[in-house]
Amino acid sequence: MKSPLTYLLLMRLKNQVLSWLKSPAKLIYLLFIAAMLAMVVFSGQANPAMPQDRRDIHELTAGLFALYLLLYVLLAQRGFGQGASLFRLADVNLIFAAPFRPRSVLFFGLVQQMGQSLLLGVFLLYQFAWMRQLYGVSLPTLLVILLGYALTVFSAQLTAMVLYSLTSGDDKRHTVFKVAFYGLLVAYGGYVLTRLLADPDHVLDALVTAGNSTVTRLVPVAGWVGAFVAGFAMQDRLLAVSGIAACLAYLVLLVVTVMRARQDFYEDVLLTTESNHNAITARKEGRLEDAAPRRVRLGRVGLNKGSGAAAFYYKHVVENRRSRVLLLSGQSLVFIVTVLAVSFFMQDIGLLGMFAFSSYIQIFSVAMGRLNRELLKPYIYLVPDPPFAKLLHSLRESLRSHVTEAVVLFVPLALLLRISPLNCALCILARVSYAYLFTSGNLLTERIFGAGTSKVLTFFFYFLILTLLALPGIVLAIMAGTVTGALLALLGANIPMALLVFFLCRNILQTAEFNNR
Amino acid sequence: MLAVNDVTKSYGKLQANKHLTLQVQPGETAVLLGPNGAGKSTLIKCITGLLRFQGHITIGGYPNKSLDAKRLLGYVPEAPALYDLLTVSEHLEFIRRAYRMDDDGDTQNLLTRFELLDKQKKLGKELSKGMQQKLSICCALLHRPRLVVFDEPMVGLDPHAIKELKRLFGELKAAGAAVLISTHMLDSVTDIWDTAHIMVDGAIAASRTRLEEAGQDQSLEELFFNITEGRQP
Repeated sequence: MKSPLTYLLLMRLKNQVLSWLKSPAKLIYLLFIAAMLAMVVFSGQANPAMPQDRRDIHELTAGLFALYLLLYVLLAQRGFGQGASLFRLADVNLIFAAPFRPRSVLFFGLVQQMGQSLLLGVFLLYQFAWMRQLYGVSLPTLLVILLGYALTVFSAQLTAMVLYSLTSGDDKRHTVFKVAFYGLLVAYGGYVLTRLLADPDHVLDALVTAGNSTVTRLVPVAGWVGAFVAGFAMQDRLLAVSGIAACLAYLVLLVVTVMRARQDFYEDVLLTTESNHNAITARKEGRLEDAAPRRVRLGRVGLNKGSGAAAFYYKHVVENRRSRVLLLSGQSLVFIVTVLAVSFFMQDIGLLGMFAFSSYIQIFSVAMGRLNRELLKPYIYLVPDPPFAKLLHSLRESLRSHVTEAVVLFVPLALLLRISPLNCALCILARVSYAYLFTSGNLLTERIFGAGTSKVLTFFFYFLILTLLALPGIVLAIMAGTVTGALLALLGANIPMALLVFFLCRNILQTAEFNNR
Repeated sequence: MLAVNDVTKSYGKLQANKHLTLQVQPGETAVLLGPNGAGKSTLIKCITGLLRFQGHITIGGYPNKSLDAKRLLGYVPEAPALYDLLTVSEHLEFIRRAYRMDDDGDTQNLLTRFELLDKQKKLGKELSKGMQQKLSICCALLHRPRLVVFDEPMVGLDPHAIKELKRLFGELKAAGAAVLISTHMLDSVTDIWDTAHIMVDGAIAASRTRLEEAGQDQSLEELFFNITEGRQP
């Protein structure tokens, strides 16, 4: 007879596959994802660059190391807070209470987490086309990059668990580990800085050299995984084997530490498991948790203005003030830093390429806007004011956020890419026009598919609607020929399109369904 | 005050509500009873104008989605729907402003009754589930609605709050407000109902008034279990 834990793992996997097959919406979504993946791989294979046209692969390996390091630091440092968990709430309720040895339960969690880490990195597969085009990456190398991603996520989560296990309840030890963790990070930052200062005229070259240096290869986890991937990509067996060996040894050390440090690790993972479960339940129920710093500064208490529908605007002013880190919310700052980082490394793709990338990222920031959050609560439907007035007041505060976000993004980008002031201003306006175009897409999706029972299918149609709404602007921009003309074309098409959709959806709060099932 | 007439609500092929008809008069407390999945919450959402449906629903004689009907309605949802970044007092200020009400001391009264006075500066996300439910009730009652619809209001409340809520049901009734309470916990409404509707599979399987109860050999509880356990059609 199989072990109950093995049985549980296999049955979960089987039922997951069956649920895809039983739900047409999920199946369509899955087939769409697979078709897109096949297309990316095929197009990547069909257009290989000539070896002499390729860029230096060291750029890619340095970039991958940076990605792995960022992931590792972000995930592992949770060990100084709530910790991390390899388990779900169902595991806590059913397995922790059952007569299993903690060691078996830990291995069950490890196997489960390994699968999830691999799934998290699937987005990397979609990067095949440009990796192939620019760096001549082969399909097996791409799979190794994905494996490196999964290894990093897995190691980081296990590290967080060990850090929490070793430091919780012992302030002195907590400080020592924290200083060591961040001290190493600062030391490595100092190393990169010295390399940059040594060659200030060639920043990119200096970063690439630093990202492939021996010191970098010694950085725990990210450096080792980076060495494994770089060794495979450059056919340097010694580098690849030493990287993977160091990583595996580290994982074994972590597992042994968990078992030795505290036999009873159940308590250490309880809080995180519960908060993870609450976050997942909130997402399933369509509740968006507000993006806010962990410690919210209350500031001035009270709305102090507004009546009827205008109360929504003054409420949003208060909420936005409390959710900001600096000028913008933490999420917006992450999106902006991502775009700036990509534009720094990929200056070749030009202003319009960067604008397209930032607009793609913008879809996600708009989806988390105040109006969308408001639609998930009943008050906006219940308040006795005309629906169009409630809609307009719910959009009012977003104008300030969109303009600030566009200015904070495009002014540094203009300096980085040496864009003219006119084009910079047009980029800001075009970005704001996209913000409202995407918001109108949200409303249209809600209007047409709001009553739908399948969130997967609704999400699919949402992207379809956004594509259709953005299409006229994109076509006109392509036809325009110049950068300034293209940006003007986007503005000229997006604004009337967004206004038309807003007009058509003016009664949405009267007719839409409060669909939070 | 509330008239539900031949209301049907479908989700694709599934009919969650099937040709439902009921009324709640001013000063009447009606309860919707039924097991999980009977369609109680769906009907409540149709009444409060949150879902589209076939049929007619009026509140105070106005169509339920009209502004006049919304002014008369108070709604306590099943899961408290609060704003993470507003404090307790700001939630109530927001409702007062949105409904264009003056602050005539009702805010303080409600906060005192539901023991939230010392939590005024707590953010919505910092409140426990029970506290959130209490605030949700305060938000629904602040604009003095003439019809109050409660969806599983007792879930998560402590004994004091349950006692206070039951007292409040009595006060609403005395003030002439119509009250509709949906629950699957029969015990929680034993003392307060005037009319009970038992729902099974999206339809009303039986309705009974308190007056009718006196002449029956079967108590409401027995009727409920006979219907929901399939012993009585």
